[in-house]
Amino acid sequence: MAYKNEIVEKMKEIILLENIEESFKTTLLSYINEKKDYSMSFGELCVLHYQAFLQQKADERIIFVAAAVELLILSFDIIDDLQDGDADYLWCQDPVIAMNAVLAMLFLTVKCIQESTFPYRAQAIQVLYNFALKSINGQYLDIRNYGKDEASYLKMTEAKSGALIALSSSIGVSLAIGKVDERVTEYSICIGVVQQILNDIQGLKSWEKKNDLLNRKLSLPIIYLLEQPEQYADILRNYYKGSKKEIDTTYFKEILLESGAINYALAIKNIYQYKALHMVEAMPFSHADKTYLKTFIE
Amino acid sequence: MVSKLIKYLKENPQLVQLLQEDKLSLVGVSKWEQQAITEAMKGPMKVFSYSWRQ
Repeated sequence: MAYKNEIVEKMKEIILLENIEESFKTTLLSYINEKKDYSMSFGELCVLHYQAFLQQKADERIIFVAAAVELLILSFDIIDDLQDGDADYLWCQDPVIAMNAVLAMLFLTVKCIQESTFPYRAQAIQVLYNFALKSINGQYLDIRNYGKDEASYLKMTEAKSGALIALSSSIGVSLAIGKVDERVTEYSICIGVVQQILNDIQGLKSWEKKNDLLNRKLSLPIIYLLEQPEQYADILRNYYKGSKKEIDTTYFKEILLESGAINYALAIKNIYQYKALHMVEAMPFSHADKTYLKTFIE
Repeated sequence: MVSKLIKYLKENPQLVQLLQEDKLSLVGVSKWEQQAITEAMKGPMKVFSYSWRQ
């Protein structure tokens, strides 16, 4: 099961069918195009859960909703890039227009679900509001560098990243059965945390614009370093406080590897991964659905 | 808790070997957590360290 191409086409269709300026349509389509080579995991999870709970193959209507979910995710990605100021996507070139595009995408997402013919569309919109607000709150905590220790960092990540996966899966569930399933919510949040930790580790590999350490942002490996009674922790603390302007990247590349910081982040990631895999295995889904779902976790 | 265990295992790599061979158990952590920690101390690091040192 892979609906990536169908989802991208539906995203474009949603824009093309709307009564907005042609040049605005062109901008929105160019944004979709910018991410067309990325996986459409959020939309796919929506479709998968709808199918699994309804025990029925996906039809065009759920692909349309999956496309709406991907528009919402794209709008959140754009806001995140504008806030972080560390990306080179098309929308970063003109933030004023990008903010308008985000507004359009948000309303288009709700409109698509509201105008669908699903009997449980009202419940799905409620799910969207609840998880979207949870994620926005998590984003606020991230911007504020709230995650200063393991517990608060994981709480922030569960909200920011976990809630977006839970939103995607649970919209599919609610359209199928009219309510959320707590097991789905729980393992979806775990999937979100796993993906975020992998992103955090990936982000520390490159010592360019997006590096969290250079940008004085917190993630699990950095929290680990800051907690150690070593000299490098003092250097790092001074850098994060702003009393030290630059950091020796060669030295910290080595420290990240040798101190156990990456092992630590991987261990936490593994704990969430095992929990999610165990929960998925216990779900009353077909073998094919479980196998496909596990590809988002492993 | 996990961070302290990782630190300790980094300083005592012989224990990682014993954990991997199932000849040692970590007190105060579940079987899953032990597996998660043990795994984090081996395979993936090799993959990461390769590209990390580029």
